[in-house]
Amino acid sequence: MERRRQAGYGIPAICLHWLIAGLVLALIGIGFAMRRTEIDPVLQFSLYQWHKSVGLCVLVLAALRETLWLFAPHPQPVAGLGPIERQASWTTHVLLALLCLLVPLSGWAVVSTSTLGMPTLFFDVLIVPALPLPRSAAGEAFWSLVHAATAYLLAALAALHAAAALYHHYIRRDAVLLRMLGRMPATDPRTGGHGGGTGDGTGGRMRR
Amino acid sequence: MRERAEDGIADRTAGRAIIRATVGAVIGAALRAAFRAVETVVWAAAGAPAGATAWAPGGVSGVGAPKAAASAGAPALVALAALFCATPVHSRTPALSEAAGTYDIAGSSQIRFTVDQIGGGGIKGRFTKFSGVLRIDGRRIGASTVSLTIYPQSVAAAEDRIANFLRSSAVFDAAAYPTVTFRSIAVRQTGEDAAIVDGMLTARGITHREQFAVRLQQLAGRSIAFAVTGDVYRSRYRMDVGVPIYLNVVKFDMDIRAVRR
Repeated sequence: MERRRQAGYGIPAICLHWLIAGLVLALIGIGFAMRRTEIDPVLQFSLYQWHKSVGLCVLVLAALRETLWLFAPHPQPVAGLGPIERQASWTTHVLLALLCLLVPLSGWAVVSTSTLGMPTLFFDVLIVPALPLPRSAAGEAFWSLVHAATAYLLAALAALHAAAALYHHYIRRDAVLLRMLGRMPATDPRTGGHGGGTGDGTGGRMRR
Repeated sequence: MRERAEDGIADRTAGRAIIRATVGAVIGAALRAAFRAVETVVWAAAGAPAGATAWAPGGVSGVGAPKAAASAGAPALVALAALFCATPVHSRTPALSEAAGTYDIAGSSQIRFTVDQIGGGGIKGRFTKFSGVLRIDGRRIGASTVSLTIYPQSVAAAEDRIANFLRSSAVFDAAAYPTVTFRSIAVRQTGEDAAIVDGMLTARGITHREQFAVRLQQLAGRSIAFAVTGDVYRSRYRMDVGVPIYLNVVKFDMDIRAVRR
């Protein structure tokens, strides 16, 4: 356990991270597509239902991921980070974690306050109840705004997060990205390096 | 899950329908049997054709009536017996056979429909623009016809976004198919004031046979009113968007008012 804490993330954390990342990307894509005005209305209806089901998946997976984060050992930050970088990293991760809960919840609130009263049928199988919020046009408009604003913020932070990971991998050549890919850094994590890489991001990968 | 939801709705609807149908059938059949008996006796004696008029003198009720009513088209003796042991009801429902004539469907008619959704509630809509003609054959109700044209562009719902969705290519595709039509092909009288109308319903260029239950509500002067109900499976017309969240069954509930030409 202690070794994992130093070296990197456990398999569950890695799986959850990439699953959530993939689903959030899909949700952003579906979200943009379904809001297009010239879209085929049948496709639009389906996209909305997919968006709701996938969004609920993210809510559950993010809750799991964050429980793991709170209660399971978390890897140390890689060495060589300045105090500002550490603070920025921590803030971004906490915000990302919060937004992965807040965005789906606000989406659920949109559905729950919508005067359309449309039920949510999770992947056409399970009825998901509405949140206990009063239905009104104003409520729907408010939560739509919250959903959109938090979603844009999440997209921006996810882009920043990905850019930072790439920066660490290609410029700083440390283990930040590799340890989330399940590859243990070869050198001591305290040095932050991942071997004498060739610089193309593949040569530096070390066997476990 | 959907099956269960549909079953639940079907159970409730069926329960009400059974009560209505039973009461209607009993009263209607007894009335018809009784009237036929009187008609046979009186008009045979007078030498006039049966069915020339259809004024049923009062109704029947009581213990003896259902037995007689159960065998629709019962022998005249049984019908007469039913008539004699009967007590009059308070008001008389107008009989279809009195309503002979050609009528234009009036704009005051209500053409409503509901599509239930899982977990309760659903979509309620109505059409505000339509036209149609009823031809009621007083001698042979079965020879009566009805044609109705609905303009789905006129669909109205609780919210514009629902109405717009219904008009769109997802549902009625009102731009490509500006009309929904119904042409009767068979009318079967099921009671003094009731009939089952079969006809061809065309929507989105697709035609299927559908059935509606019709009950005469009012006949006053030149105007006539019917209550019309019937269920249509929307998937038949490629309108199955939203299934299974919204059920496949569209329940029609219409008040058709028409004026004699």
